Amino acid sequence: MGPDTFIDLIGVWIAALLTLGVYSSLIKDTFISKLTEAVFVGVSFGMSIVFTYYNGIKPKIEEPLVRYYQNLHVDYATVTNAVTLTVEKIADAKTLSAESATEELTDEIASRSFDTNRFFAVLDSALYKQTLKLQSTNDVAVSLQSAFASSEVNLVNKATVMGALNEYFTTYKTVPTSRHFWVLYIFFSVILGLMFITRFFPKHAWLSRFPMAYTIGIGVGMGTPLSFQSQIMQQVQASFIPMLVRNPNGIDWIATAGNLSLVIGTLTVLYYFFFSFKKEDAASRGATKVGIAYLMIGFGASFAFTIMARVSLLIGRINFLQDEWIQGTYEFFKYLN
Amino acid sequence: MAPGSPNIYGPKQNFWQRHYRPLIYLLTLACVVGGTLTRLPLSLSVSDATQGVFDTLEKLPELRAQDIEKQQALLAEKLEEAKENSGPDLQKEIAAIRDKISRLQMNPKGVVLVCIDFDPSTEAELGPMAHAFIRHCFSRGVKVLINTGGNVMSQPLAQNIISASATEGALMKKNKYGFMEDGTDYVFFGFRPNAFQLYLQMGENILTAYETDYAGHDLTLLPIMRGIRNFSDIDMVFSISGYVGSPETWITVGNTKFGKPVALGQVAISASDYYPYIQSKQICGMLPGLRGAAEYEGACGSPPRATGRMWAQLYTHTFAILLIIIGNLEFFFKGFKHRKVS
Amino acid sequence: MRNYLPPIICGVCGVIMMLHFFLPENTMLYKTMMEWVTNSTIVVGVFGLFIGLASLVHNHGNRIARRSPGWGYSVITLSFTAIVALTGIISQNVGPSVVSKPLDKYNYDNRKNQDHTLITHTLFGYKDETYKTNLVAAATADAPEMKGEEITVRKVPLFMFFYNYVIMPMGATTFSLLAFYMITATYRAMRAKSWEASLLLISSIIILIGQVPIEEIPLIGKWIMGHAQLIVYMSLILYILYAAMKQFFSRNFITCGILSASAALIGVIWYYTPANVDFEAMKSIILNYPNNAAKRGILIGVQLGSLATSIKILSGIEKPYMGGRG
Repeated sequence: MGPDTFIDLIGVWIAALLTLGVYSSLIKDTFISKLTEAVFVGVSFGMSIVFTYYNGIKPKIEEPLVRYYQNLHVDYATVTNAVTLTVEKIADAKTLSAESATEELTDEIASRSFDTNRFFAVLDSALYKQTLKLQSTNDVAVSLQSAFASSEVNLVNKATVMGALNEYFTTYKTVPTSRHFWVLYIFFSVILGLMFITRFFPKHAWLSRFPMAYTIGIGVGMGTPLSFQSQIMQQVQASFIPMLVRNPNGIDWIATAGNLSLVIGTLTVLYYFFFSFKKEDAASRGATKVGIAYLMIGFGASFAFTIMARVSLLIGRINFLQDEWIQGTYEFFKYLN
Repeated sequence: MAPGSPNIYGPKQNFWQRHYRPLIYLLTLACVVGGTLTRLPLSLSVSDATQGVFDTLEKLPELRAQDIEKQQALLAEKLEEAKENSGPDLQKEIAAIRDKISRLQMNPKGVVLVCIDFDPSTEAELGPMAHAFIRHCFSRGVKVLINTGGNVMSQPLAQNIISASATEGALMKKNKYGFMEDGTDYVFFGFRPNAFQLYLQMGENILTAYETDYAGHDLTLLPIMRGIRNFSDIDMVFSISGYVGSPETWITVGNTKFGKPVALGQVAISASDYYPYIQSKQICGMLPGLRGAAEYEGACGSPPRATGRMWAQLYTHTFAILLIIIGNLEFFFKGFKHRKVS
Repeated sequence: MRNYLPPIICGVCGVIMMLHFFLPENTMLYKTMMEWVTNSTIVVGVFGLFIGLASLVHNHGNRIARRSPGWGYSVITLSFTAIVALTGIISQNVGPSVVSKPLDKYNYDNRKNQDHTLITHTLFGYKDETYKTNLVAAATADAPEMKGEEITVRKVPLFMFFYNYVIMPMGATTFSLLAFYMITATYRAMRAKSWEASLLLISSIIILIGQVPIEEIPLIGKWIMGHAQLIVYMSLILYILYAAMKQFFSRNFITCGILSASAALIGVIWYYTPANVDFEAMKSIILNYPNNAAKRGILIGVQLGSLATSIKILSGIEKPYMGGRG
């Protein structure tokens, strides 16, 4: 549970001191609490930079562009030779496994015909990966092996396979046409992104409206239909429940009261949030009061759960200070010799 | 304030009124420390929401068998049709159904997708929940796919949880299990940005949505992925989230769009907001905060990490109730009167 | 152009994305659109980080340049940002890589071949490395029989040191501070000042009690829960009688009479109800019925509001993106 090595011990002490520094803000806003806040803000931001680089910039911008450039200049003959050798090896291996299989299985394999379109589709998926380095024959081999391993293409008949491969090479390009459009699209996205930064230059800040409009439009269009169906339609549907619930013994009064309460509560709460007209008559005021009553009960439940949530986090911290810091340090030095 | 002028806060306050804040902080700390030092067993009853999650996982082999039966019936229908009128489209359909059946048969105990979507600030509540659920899956032989939702900081946390759960099967009180292998019994996809679009892409093909696992290995090479191509090969989704927004995404995508049972593991703060989804059957169950985690640990026999913390919760809650009573008594019989100097 | 083109772009993109739900999923158009949209929004979003970074540097830089009070903290913030960003980017092993690695069983965490694997941090290393050693004494605290045996040590880089020993503890600690403030709030704010506040109070007390097994508290737990019914009914009757008394002294005799009758009715109910008060059942009823109704009402209301806002944004009535002068 505690630190295993000296460096981890240093880390645990740093963590414990930072924790106590944050808790010192309960007493007063001291130098230590401000220092720990400054450290936390700095480290969090640095971390978000790193994660954004590895999850956003590198796989979506850097690698596709680097590979595109490399694959544009790759030798066509090298690639096709590598592909031919690998497919030959895979076909040999499949033939061998088919020959050593049971009679029943061999019949089953033989009865399945070679699907040329499927074979081409598997080759496309293996050779047109955005991050595939075509110069590296090993990468090409691995990509083909993994694609054929999970496909159901029948490669038992080697002659047919090699014939289909030659047919594939007649139209094969190292960089497909769609990749040029894809790279153009990456440049378009990068330009849109750069327009964001014009926010800092007052004279050109109007350019930042375009990427924001694009992002907001896509976000709104994507989220609205599905959330309408799941949050509104299905919730309203779930409110249509029987007002009288029967059980084998007669009427289930508790379930009936519960259902009635649920429907009345939903309607009155919705009515409370409707501010388009004044609610001056007695019935409207009564309905609003009932809605408020339901809301207060709901908020009471939320408050109780919030106490549990916050206390859970405090318990986690106290556990850390007891188990990893105090006990962990003691055990580290106890077992050191 | 001029000497001799009346105190603007009214009559002189007593020791408690002057120092109640630090006293409350100290007593809260004492309750928590006392609770963490109490190492007695604690029995908790399981609520309906937690039972729903447990029962759905237990029924996964049944759900899968029903799915296979449905597909086999469909295949028989198509084969009958093919006897009269066999065209290339029908042959493609038959091949696709055969493919689907063979994929379903590869994982007869079921497949669960666990979305670990919380950061260190909520780990104390959601970590034990994630441990308990994944251990329960392993003990039942269910294959586990793990991803992180919209939060990139969840990755190292998720990796620690999975590694611990995969290697500590012997700690289970019931249904112990051996070492679980990465790539065969579970796979961790890691984080990809744009969660909503990613989940929609998973409906088509998980392999193109993720391409590699967290360690960088091609998904097509992993044994576990042979039986899993898209959402139709997954039986249940369990979303453990510390954020508002992530559960709604899973309910919308997982349940509304793909029709899969979705269970939620929530921080207690937002747990009460998701009860309408239980009533509307959009989710099969929910683990609300630390209490939910403790209940689930008891139900599945997982090592009692959350249950141990419930003692501190117990003492703190009792203290909070006492404070409410004291505050209300004070309000009724004394009150806090602040008279301002006119 | 700068005023009418952004709303057009927003509307067109939004409508296209709405319509794509009606496209069949296995068509090239659907797949291409999904891929392009996903990737472009990620790329555009990445530049939001640069804005955040520029904003941070600008604010803290100004504070340092002007020597404003607390400028030293700004120096610390910017230094740590730079250190963590550099160590992370130089490090080879952070996050997933979409470049496929060849399948090699030795890259897997094959702990089933070893009894103990140690994970430690390197302060000055940037690469993940694994080696065997028998010199690590503290590891044997968990497995004393391993002393002297070779164990595998896996070093994780400096970047993970910051994550495990700064981000994780401080993130949790910052939120756990609120526990103290919440408990103080229960004392200061949870007062039955009006009928609404009383409802909130009663609901939160029932759920607080229902969440934890109070009868398990050593020595006094069973006594408290055994007399819970007495405490609950007595408090309710006393509260109603106190309200009745206030109405009596305010000369509202009818209201006083109604309240006194309610107190008597509750006394009768108490006489006839079973001895045990099941707070967990009461908690369950509150959560499944009134809480459910309230949250459903709020949920539907919020979603209707966001639907209206979405339509306003797509039709150009609301333009939240029209910042920037010019």
